Amino acid sequence: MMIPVFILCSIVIFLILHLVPGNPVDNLLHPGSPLEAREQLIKEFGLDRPIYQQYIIWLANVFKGNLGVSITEQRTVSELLLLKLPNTVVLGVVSFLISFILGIFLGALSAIKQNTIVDYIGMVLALLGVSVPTFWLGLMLMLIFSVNLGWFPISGYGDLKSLVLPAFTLGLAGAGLIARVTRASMLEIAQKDYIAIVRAKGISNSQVIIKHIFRNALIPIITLLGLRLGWIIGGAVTIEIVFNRPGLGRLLANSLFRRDYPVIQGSLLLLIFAVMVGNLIADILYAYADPRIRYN
Amino acid sequence: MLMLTHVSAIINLFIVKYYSEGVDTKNIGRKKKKLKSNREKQYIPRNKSRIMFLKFKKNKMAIIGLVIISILIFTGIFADFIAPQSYREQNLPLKSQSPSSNFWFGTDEFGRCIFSRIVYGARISLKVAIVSTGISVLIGIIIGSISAYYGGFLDQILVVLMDVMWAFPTILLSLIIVAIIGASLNSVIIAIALSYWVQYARLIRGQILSLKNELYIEVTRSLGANDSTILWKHLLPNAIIPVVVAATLGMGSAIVLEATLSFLGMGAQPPMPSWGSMLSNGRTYLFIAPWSAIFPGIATIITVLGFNLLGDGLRDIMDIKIKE
Amino acid sequence: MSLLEVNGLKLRFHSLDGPVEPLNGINFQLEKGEVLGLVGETGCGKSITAKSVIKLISYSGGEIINGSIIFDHEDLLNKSEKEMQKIRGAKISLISQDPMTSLDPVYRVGDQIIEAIQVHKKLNYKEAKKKAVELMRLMGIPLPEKVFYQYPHELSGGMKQRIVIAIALSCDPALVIADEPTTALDVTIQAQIIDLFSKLKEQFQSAFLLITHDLGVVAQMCDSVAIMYAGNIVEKGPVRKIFHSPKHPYTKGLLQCIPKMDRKQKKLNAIPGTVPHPRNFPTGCRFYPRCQHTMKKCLSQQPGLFEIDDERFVACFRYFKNSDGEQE
Repeated sequence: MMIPVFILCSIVIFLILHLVPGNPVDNLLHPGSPLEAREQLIKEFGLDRPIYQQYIIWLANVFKGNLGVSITEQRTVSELLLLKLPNTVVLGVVSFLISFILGIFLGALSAIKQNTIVDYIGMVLALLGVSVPTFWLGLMLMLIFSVNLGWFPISGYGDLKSLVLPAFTLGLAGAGLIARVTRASMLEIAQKDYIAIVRAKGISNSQVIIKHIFRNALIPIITLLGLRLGWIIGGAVTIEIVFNRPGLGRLLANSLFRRDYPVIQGSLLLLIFAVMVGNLIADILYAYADPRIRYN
Repeated sequence: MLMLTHVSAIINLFIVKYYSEGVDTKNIGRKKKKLKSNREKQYIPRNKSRIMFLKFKKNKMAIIGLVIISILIFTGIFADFIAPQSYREQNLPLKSQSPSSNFWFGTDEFGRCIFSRIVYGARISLKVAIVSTGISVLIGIIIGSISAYYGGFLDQILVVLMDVMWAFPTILLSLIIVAIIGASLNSVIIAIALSYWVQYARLIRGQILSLKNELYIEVTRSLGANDSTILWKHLLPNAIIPVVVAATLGMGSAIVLEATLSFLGMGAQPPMPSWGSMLSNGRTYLFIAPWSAIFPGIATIITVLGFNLLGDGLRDIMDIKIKE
Repeated sequence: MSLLEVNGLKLRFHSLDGPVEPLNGINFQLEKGEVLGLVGETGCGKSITAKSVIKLISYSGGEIINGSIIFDHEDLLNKSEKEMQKIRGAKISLISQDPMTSLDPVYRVGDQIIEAIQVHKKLNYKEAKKKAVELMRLMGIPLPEKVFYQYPHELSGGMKQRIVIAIALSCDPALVIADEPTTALDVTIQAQIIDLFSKLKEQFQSAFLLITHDLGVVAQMCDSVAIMYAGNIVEKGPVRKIFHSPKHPYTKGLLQCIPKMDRKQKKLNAIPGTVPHPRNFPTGCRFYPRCQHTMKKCLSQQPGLFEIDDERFVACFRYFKNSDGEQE
């Protein structure tokens, strides 16, 4: 079932970009170049053929692993993608872990200490996390920790120190939603009949919370987390720009500005693929968490 | 993929539902609630509007949200009177000054008064929030109703489309759209509208599907021709409520998205004082004139906070109504 | 000395409109091995009584503001939560109303039975599993070895209820509180479960506090019965005597409502009026608005439980005798 969706998406990607006014070739030519030079470049890039032919050729190539050559840089798209991918992956994974751990911790704590100061503070923090634009948070963290305190580098990549601020920015912003959902989920589960029965067995409160309430509350949280993957990828775009980190996000943004079709298409395909994989993982985890789903 | 649809449908319900702060009369721990006790009086269950009003009053956060949004609207309408200066008036000799009594928020790199620009920026933010959400809701209602009403293959395709769009990062989607149309404030509005319609479509679709069920049951049970308009009157208000809540929260998200897009240079073009573009400029001068980035950011955050608080409060109130 | 003695139990719940007190100082006793039925319509407060005995009511937003619950010579209201945890499941256990929602959906049923055993009896997994399987067999669950590894959603309602009962009996409790154990089940399954209860009553020698609105179940299973109305116990006594000659107008009304299969009846009997909302409790006797035999006194004063006979108690002024033995 995934393959038809993938193909559908690829068609959409391909079509949209070709609806854009402006021809990428024009970016490569000096103004005032002779028409023949333009014609030649168009022929070279195969931009003169009918659209469906271009699409089929492109799709066939994709499955062969050939994503084309970047128009603005002298490299194949695959090369570019492979080069930039690891950075984004690292950023994504680390920030995901941060938001996961922080969010669940904050949410669970708020739920357990419901209606106390801890709860209110926790939820205010979570609300801020949801309300703050990620890039602004990044700028502010940069201001405080890099400029004023000098603990972390302002930009760059490759080492752990340069990863901290970007990852925390994305992580903190993501933790907000996770905290809210965790809290609400746990509170809802706590009302359920079977929790009363569990308590009636004489089990200690902490066991009730961890073994039963939290375990059941995880189910909707996991499904939420699965969809957060798309959000993380999106967030990585702005964060990479703010912190000057090379990665998939920045690559896509730049290629959008420069109308570098092959790169745009390649990155989008990769992103869609990643999002689908993420959803698949989420589905699997969800089935693992909820026995009722497993046997369907 | 069937699982994805299933999962996404659940997520849709949960995300709208779970933004809620939860039931607050029951506990995991055992807190004893201290409330004033009323005098003994005849208990008549209050009508729905009164319950809603009472709950709203008790929900201080929602009130704060309402106040913030009101201030925003007020600022937007009366910007000309509030702002001490025009947003485009440049005063180069005074550029990049820190906050002072003349310029409450300082000046930016062109010597413009940041406070004034933020005041005028409120108009842009309001415009973005209302127009894009409005279009989004409209698209969502149309597609959601078509999908639910006709069902069948059309429904299946639309559901798949909605699932894929839901999972795709909104920033990238809107970035692509703006890149196609060309950078400007209006294209940002359109891009946001096109990115956010999915949640409203799903809500409406869900409501109509359950309405279809109830209608069907009602009609088969009734002995005579049942006036379907009565059902519509009863069920439509229930259907609208989650959309109102989602739209309020959505306006907050729209403002964040606009800020992000403008930050990337794809939004309002100079000299328009969109808060996002101010942040973008501010970034370049972050180290020598940080106030030009801090204040627009704070304005954005407070505004989005306002929408979120209001949306949360509305949902808490509406929960009672839905439960009845 | 009774196994369980509840005295003057009062509860308070908080809500948007202020506090409400659904229980009005109820009293009842239970002897070792006795089956006491607690009967009443929906909303009279039976379920919250059940939860209150083991002090689980605070998790539902309730507060015990008065009374004593004396179990095994100790007042449970004086006990800390930790001490209560030792009692719950081991000495007093609970069977809840709806089997469909009584089991944790993410754990296997066998593991759920074992959970209590491991906490209270400190058996290792193997021994606990053996006990659980035996218990399941006793409950009439076919192929218990297999069912042990199944999840709740794979079982039918009747099976689930048997599992819940197995959990309740797993640690040989002295008292089992069964909150409407048959209400949510099909009639045929109901009969099976009641038979099971009868069998277990003999085998386990536990006392049962059976909460129900089904008088048939009471007749079949209970030794004594307490009738509840609007937060009060209005009549108490041995089952035979009460069914044979009910004294309180409400009890009489209830028994009359049961359709008789051996006689022609034109209309079904019903008690006129409805159960009052806890916020609208009438002053004086709470049954006053629906009673056919009222006196002046009933309007202004609440009758307490008055002993009219050996073991029989009624809360009705019509049966009150002052200290000289004369009826007032």
